[in-house]
Amino acid sequence: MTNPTTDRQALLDRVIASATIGMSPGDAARMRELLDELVRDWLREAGTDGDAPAVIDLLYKDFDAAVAGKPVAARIEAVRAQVLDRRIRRLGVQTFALGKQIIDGGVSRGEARPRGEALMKEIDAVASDVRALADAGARARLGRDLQEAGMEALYAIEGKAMSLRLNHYASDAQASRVS
Amino acid sequence: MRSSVEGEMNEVDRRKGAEGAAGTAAGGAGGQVAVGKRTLVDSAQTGTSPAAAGPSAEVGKTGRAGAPDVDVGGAPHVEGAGSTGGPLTKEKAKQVLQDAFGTYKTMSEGKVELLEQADFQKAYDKIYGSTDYSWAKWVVPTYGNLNGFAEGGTNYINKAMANTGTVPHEMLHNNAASDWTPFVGSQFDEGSTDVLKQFALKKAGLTSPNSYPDQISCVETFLATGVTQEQLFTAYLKGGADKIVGEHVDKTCAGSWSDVKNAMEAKDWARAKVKLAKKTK
Repeated sequence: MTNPTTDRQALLDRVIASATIGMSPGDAARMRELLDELVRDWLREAGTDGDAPAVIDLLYKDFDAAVAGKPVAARIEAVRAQVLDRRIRRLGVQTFALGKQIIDGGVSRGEARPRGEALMKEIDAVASDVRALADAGARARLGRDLQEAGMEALYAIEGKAMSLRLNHYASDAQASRVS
Repeated sequence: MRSSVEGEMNEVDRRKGAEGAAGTAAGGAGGQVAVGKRTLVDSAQTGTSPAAAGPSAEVGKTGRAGAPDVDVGGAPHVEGAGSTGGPLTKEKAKQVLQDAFGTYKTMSEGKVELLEQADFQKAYDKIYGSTDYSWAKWVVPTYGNLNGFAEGGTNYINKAMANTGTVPHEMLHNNAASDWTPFVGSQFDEGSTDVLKQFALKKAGLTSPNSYPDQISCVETFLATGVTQEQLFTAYLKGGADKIVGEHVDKTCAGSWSDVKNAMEAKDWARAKVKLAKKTK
């Protein structure tokens, strides 16, 4: 017995059915790849507690609103942007966490550098995907978030400049140490 | 077409020295670009001059293996934030915030520098110009341009990328109560900062794009559970987030404050909103 809301294959089938309407086999195949990644991250976000179905419902509703009634190319573009958005979110979470660890003294410079370099490689790869987006608004929004992650990865590598949000954290941490 | 990206930046009245900078500033922007190509930062929301557009780059000549070619310019404007005249001066931003929140506390400016494109590049390269992460080798190929960075406790902001709300937003961060961000976390803080920014700008008859729509949406969901804007402003500017935010969520919402904060820090906006739904009896 599967839960039609949180079972991965059932959810993927549901999303594919609505998002690939009218697509050529080639476009539909590309869309399926994107949707597979998207749905995997939805399920990660939803977790396994009692609120998981409500989280999936909300994500599905937002997704449907983003693709409904759009022509094929715009639908693919919208889903691609969502997939990249989620990759960048994950990268930003990791770079911010690493930056905070460095500031808190929880990781040495020697340990931070290779972790920063690994994250930077991922950031570089995503940057080229973001640049390929046709939607200037999505490019700008995702680009900003990617810059933030990039400055944090760079801080882990070089130990000098950082993102603005990490600077806020560092200021708060310093104030807390003083008090 | 100018290059810009929405982000929160600041005003400055001091210019950073540029000795040793490897920037390619020409006329406040940067020189060679592949016209019509695409950059990550080409939505326009600031209203600053086209001359302050993108950085320079030689297409394909990056200093790092695997770094993509640069593309600058050519994309359409997304929002005409220039309709309100571009970034506010530090003095104007402070006045706008003082008018809106002066009854809570006296607003201060904090350590921020708003730099013209060329000076911004020089400030960046003063730090990284001799490395593989210099402006020309890393910033341009990867992003096209940068909104801002921080070093030595100071926020350096690229004026060419700033909009009307940038300076007030960053200035607000500097005025948050000492317990605010440590309690609510970075993401709830960004959303709340933008809520306060929009309140102040509206009161001054100004407009600006929302810089953090996902985070704002979560804060609005929080407010919809019965917290007034005044309570939010009090927690943000004077303190008491543990009670005004934390205890309220624990008592009123489907999830605990810890659930909400964790979801927001993970940038799981849908999960955060579900946890912020009012508790059913």
